[in-house]
Amino acid sequence: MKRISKPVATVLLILGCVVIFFGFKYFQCYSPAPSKPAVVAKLPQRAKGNPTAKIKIIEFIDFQCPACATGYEILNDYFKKNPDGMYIELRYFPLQMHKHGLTSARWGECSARQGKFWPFLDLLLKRQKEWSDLTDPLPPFRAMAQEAGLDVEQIKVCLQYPGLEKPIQSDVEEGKMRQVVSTPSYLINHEMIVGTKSLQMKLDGLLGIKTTAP
Amino acid sequence: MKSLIPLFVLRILIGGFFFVVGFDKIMHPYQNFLYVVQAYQLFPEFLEEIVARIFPWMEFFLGLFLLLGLWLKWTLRSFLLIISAFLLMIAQALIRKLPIDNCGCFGGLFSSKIQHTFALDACLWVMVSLMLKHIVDTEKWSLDRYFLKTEK
Repeated sequence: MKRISKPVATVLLILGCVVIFFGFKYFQCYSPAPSKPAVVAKLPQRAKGNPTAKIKIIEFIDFQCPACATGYEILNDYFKKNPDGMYIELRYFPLQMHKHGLTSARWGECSARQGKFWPFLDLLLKRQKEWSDLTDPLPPFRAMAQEAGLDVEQIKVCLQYPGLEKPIQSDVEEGKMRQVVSTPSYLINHEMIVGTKSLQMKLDGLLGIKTTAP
Repeated sequence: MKSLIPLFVLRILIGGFFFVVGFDKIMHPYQNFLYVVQAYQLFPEFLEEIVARIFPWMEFFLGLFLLLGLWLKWTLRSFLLIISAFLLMIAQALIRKLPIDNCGCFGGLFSSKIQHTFALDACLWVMVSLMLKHIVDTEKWSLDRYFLKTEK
């Protein structure tokens, strides 16, 4: 039997890998499993904007991530200019590398349960540098909660609630299912965008603004 | 050459490492790696896109070639080039004090501070140079040697 030569083997190897890769991707795309959920349906407390807007954004966020704070500011600027043209929904994605990522998400969830998610988040991200490096971030969290008009006693009770982490875990699982690995990650009209530079470029494109990316 | 770990084992380990890291990157949306590339603020926009799309494939195939021992000399030379590029990218980020938390080099597999990654890349550079210098030892259990025997 004639043996194949090294160049032929190399080409076959490369082609084999490419075929396997695209086959895998094809099955990933067309498997019936987790469907792309409607952006609008759930989590009204962590959503804002016009549910029928043309630009629908899901953001996977870690409240301790510095780029997320920048991204939040950028997104808010666009939102203020187009409040009817955008719909934003936030999903928790606390990263393990951030020691207060989960704690801040728990506080975020408790603020959502009191209907004050956005005012609390505004403060939390604006003052991220003030609590990010602290060993105990609870005093600033309490102060910000008060400032946002939250009932701090109710938050204490909420933080004890055993099912509190369920929505956080479910968001993290959804993020993983959507192949989110870092924050901030956005799904803009179901297209994945990662980081603030790409976010600006994408929104500029959608809104017909000449690019202002740094 | 007698080393603590035989060079062909080192070849398989390093090849396997790059193969897995490259595979993880190509299986995830390229936007994840684009974010990493953007963080280093080194390339113009169009190049960032190209690097983010092509680089994981290079890691994947070079890792596979090293693992299997195919075109070893060229593969090792390419590795030296790639690792040198990594070192330069990280060095400029360190010098410019860019706010990079996690080097992002390992896809979603694990995170590492850029200082640690710089040290790891420097070690990899030395090991790859050693493999290239002692290519005969590195070629053990390789496809190159198999093809050399069968093509004689």
